[in-house]
Amino acid sequence: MNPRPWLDTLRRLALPVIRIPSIIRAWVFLRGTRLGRRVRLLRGGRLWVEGEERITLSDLAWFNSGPIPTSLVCEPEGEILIGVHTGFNYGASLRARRSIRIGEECMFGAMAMVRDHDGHRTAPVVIGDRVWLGHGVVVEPGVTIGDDAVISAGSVVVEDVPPRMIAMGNPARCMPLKALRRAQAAHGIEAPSEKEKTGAVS
Amino acid sequence: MSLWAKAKRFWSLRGSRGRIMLAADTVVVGRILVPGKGLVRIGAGVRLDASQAPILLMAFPGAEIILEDGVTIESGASIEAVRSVRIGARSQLCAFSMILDNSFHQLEGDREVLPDSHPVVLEEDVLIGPRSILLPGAHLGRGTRVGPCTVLSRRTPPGAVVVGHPAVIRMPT
Repeated sequence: MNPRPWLDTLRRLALPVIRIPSIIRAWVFLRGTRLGRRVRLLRGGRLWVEGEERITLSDLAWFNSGPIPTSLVCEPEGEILIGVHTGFNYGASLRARRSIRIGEECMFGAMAMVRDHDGHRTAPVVIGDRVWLGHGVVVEPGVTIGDDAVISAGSVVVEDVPPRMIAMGNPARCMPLKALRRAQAAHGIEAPSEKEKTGAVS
Repeated sequence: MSLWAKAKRFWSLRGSRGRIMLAADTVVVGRILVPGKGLVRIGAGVRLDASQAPILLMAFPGAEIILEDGVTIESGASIEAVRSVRIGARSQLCAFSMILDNSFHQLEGDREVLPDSHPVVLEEDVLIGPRSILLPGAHLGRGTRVGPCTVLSRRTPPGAVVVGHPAVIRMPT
């Protein structure tokens, strides 16, 4: 399938060098934040950052490039904490008035939006480790998302999501990943994928 | 085509030249991003209106995105194809809608492994509302209308109206 496997091997060996431009790019766009090591902003990517001194980015966090810039906005009283190896696709936006804490190895889909204040209330948002937010997810203020949770594309999360759950819909409803897998097995669906997940419900 | 129109088109496609072939009558406004190495095929009378935000047409190597005659794509819409996405004639994609034919990560286990992709097909005269998302496996019949902010991953009958998340498929009476 791969016509030139040796090229991939070479590429993997050269990765630390290949990644240097994106690390420099992140360093330029995130100047003034508490920046961990090897934070990356992929080629062509742009960031909109406000309140730099209250934003903390841990090691290996990365930002994808795309048509819409990712925005990290922190108001004077707020703080944003981003864990190790958390990735953001293009157009993701974090807006903090009090606090947003994001765990390790999370994945944020394109145009995902997390904010801890709407017009009426302000409440901290906590996102656990290895959480996957799909494309266009909106997380409302005061929500806590547990470890290993998956939020389906286009969902609006208005209440807490326990660990190892999958949440989908507007407003988002939870379902254990285990139950989902069992339901898929009952319908003869082999590989779990986002498609079957939504198809089973809608 | 006037020199001014050629200059504007050059600006719209900067960084994407050679990956997308436009017809002479294609209307292009704003930036079009074509980062992938796959095939993007465009029919006659296509209108790409990226006046508010760039349009993303991402075809991974070996994938193809087919826009048939008379398709309209509005600003901020993104199409990401790992295998194939086909947009039928005279369809319209409204602002910030998103079409994916792969979910890119496994739900459980190793998230770096790419799952299977399921082609997305839009037949003729389909309307996709603003901010709606079409997930892998969506197959919209002729004349389907998808409302705003809908998330859909299924096959719809011709002439259906689809609204909501989870999506509700209705036939207009």
